[in-house]
Amino acid sequence: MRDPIHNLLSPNRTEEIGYDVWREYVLPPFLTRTTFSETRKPRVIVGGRGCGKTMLLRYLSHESTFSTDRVSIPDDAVGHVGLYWRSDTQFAQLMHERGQPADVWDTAFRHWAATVFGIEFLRSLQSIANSASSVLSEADVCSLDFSRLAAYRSDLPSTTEDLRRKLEDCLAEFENWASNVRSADAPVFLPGDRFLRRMIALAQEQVPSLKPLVYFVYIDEYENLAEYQQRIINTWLKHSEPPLIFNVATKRNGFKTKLTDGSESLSEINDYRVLDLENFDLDSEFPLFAAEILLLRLKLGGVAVSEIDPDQLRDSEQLPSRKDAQYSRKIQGALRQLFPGLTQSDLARRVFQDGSLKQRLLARIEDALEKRGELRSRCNEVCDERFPEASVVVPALLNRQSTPPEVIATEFEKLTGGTDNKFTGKTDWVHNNFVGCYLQLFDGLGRPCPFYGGFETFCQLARGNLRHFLELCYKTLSRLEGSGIGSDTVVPIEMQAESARQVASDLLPEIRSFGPQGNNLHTFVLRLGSLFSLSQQSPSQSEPERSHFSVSEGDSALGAFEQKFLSEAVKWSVLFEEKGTKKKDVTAAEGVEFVLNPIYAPYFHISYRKKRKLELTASEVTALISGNYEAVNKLLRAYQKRWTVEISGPQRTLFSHLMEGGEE
Amino acid sequence: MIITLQEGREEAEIDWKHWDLTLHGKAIDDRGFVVLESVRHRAIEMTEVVYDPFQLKVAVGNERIAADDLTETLATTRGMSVLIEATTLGFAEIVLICKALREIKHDSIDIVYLEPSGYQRELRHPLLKRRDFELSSEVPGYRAIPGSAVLLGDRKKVRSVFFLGYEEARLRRAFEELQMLSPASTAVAFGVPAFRAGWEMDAMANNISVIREQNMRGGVHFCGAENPLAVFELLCEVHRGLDQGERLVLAPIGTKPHGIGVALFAAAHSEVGVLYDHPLRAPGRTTDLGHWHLFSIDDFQGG
Repeated sequence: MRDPIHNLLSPNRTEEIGYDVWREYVLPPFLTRTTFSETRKPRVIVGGRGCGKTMLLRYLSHESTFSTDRVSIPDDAVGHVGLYWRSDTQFAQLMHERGQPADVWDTAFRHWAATVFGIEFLRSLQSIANSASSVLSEADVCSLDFSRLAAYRSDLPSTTEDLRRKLEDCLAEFENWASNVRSADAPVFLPGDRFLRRMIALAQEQVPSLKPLVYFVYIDEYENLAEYQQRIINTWLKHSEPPLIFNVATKRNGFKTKLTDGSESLSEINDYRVLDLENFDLDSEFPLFAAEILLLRLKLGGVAVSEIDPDQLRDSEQLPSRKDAQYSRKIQGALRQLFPGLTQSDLARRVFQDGSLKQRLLARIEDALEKRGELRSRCNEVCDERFPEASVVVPALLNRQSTPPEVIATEFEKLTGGTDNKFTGKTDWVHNNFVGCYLQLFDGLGRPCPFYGGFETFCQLARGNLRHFLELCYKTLSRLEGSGIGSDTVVPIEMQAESARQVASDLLPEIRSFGPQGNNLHTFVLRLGSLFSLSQQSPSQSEPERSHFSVSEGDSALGAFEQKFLSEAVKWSVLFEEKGTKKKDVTAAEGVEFVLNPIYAPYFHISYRKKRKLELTASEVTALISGNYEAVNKLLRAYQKRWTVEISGPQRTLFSHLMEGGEE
Repeated sequence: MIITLQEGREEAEIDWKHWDLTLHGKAIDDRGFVVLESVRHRAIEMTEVVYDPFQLKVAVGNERIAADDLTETLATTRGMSVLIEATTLGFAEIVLICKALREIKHDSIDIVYLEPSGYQRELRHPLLKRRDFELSSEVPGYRAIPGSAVLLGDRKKVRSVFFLGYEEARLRRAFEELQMLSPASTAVAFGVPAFRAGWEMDAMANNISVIREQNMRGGVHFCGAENPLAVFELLCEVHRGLDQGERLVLAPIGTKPHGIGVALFAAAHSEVGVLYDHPLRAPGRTTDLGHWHLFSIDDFQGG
């Protein structure tokens, strides 16, 4: 029997929610009233797994727009009627070769689309008639006469219901033929988008209130279709105009071909606009949006949540009110109460309140002093419970040959004396080194690190991915099983941090299912994460919080396979691609930076923040992507030596293969 | 269809026949070489069959044909006794061959399979090993097989049965690539008893997280890992229980005998669909030799 928390939060898959998502949907903040309902430009909707793409498309589809849960529907809703098509791409891959000429498959694909669009169109009429909209009634639907469609196929019936059933039979007929091209007769093919246009025109002719009807077809998983199929859809995009506008949804890097059936290719701006669903302001928009979704789910599940009004969340007219600062504070405040985080100074104070952490810190300082030829007893000159943040960064400073211990002691004294110093002044040792040093205190400790807890932290770990955010919340709240959730529930930080680690561990094996390169993407993440983890363990923390890399010669220096591999990694959100930032060499070419998805950070015990970059050579990146084990072993050992990292017992999890000499 | 099972620890324990033709795949490990050598002495003719899931073509001996033409190509086997060598053939080849031979009206066929005595088990382990850092082959993913394809759709009523092995990624990938599968009507089947005691735990332990995550709740079944008859009987029962208009889709991503059971059932029920991810078999993937199996199918034209 599934626990209540699971029931509330677990249906992360939109498929489980159904076609009518009106009740559950929360309009993303970057959408405006004009984004969909008033635009006539085709959209290419881009987003990775878990970004809410399918949910958005279902929201835009007729079942949700004309949901029976909506008590009132404006008449102009017919100006945007969505038809959603997620093609079965494993079946679509059957549609080539096999002794059939290319033009037969071309026509067959158009026919497939036409039957699906036709069925959805007829269903949409029913949705409109069954809804609170006054534009179309059940009687109108029953009175529609589609007999003129017989011009395309003589066996098409004239009434709405019979036609829908016939088109469903056509779909079965198509399926049978496509699966058995030798033994089944080819059907009479319907002419793709023209068929749908004709159906719309016939309906508009007969029911004047449907004159404003504009259909938006949303084709999902575009990236998995064959190129010729994509060209057909591109052609529809290019020729989109009311009452029929085509749109596609695809993963990042999935909209590759711009070719059409004609001589002109698609061009952005002229022919379509890109809507990037991950184009959140990660600092302000995403936390609010994520909080709203979680609170809505809790509210729909019966938990008392006074902060939100479900109607407000799904109404495009009320989007501006959701951008109000007071509203934002209220919503995010509720989540901060549920998942409180710790400030840097809280984290530092807790080190001294925890016996074993304090002991670890002292031991690290004393060991570092001894290595520098200083007395261990000097520890009290550079460690003071009243200045916990500075104390935490001291071990790293002492491990830097470039920084004399005397200087550290002097600066510490200035700090405790209240004068300008390098710990908190311009040099800002604390700001630059605290997180890396704090993580080191938990290396191999076997207990959760509070750095990974807190609502804001969950948002950063999720990095705009709603599914990951909800997974973090679900895993955390499920640990409360038995206690239930109430308006005064507060989840301890350790529980949150442990959940973050567990989610990271659970999501890593998923990478294997990310397309044909899944296994190798998984291996690459382990390799790259291990390298970042080694960096994190560097005693001197000279470049702390490394969680992204660039190719020093520029990514064009990589081979074609490696470039394609990185593109695939970005497509599956294993890596995020960002424009290069600070260059150490100002004459170097502007490149890109690849950020490891922060959701995996707790597994590798590294920072989830994007701070310092690791510049790798093209040959090093090549080794990580396509090198054999020996090449990777050599690379990791080289960096281990460079960063003077000692791998001991507590780090066995990640580096056991290195400790065993690479043998099983 | 009458399926008779023979099993022996040694080759000599099987009551062998002689065949006019053996259809086989490429040997990539000791098992493959041993079994091909064994059947070579028992068949007049040996023909290699290899399916290409990207080009949808089959190489039959030296001839490369569209998969849809396999029936026509094998028509010359009418009246011949045919042995299908399932150790070296992949599932796709087996189902294509079974369907073709049934269309050609073969009344009986035989299938030989030499099980592994061990394999590179991939258990979830907290410690990362060398192999976690090694590269593997690409996996084509779920691609329809001509003659066994079902068009999935969001509104289509489909009941699916996954026959599971130890590789959780294959089940996970199915739900990643085939998002129209409904977890509510997805059942799983484990190979119990397993080839070796304890192996069933690998499959269960590795797949349980996916089953739970996806909330699969169409049922859990158990069929002997080496028993295609049990699979056939299970599927007959599932098929009888389908709702009006509901299609059955099978995903044999577990043991080869389970795949054989699925292939035989799919051959007998043309409306049943198959989902398969066409993994590339790693050389040396299995170690040493296990038990020999000879499955004899009589009344092949029956249901």
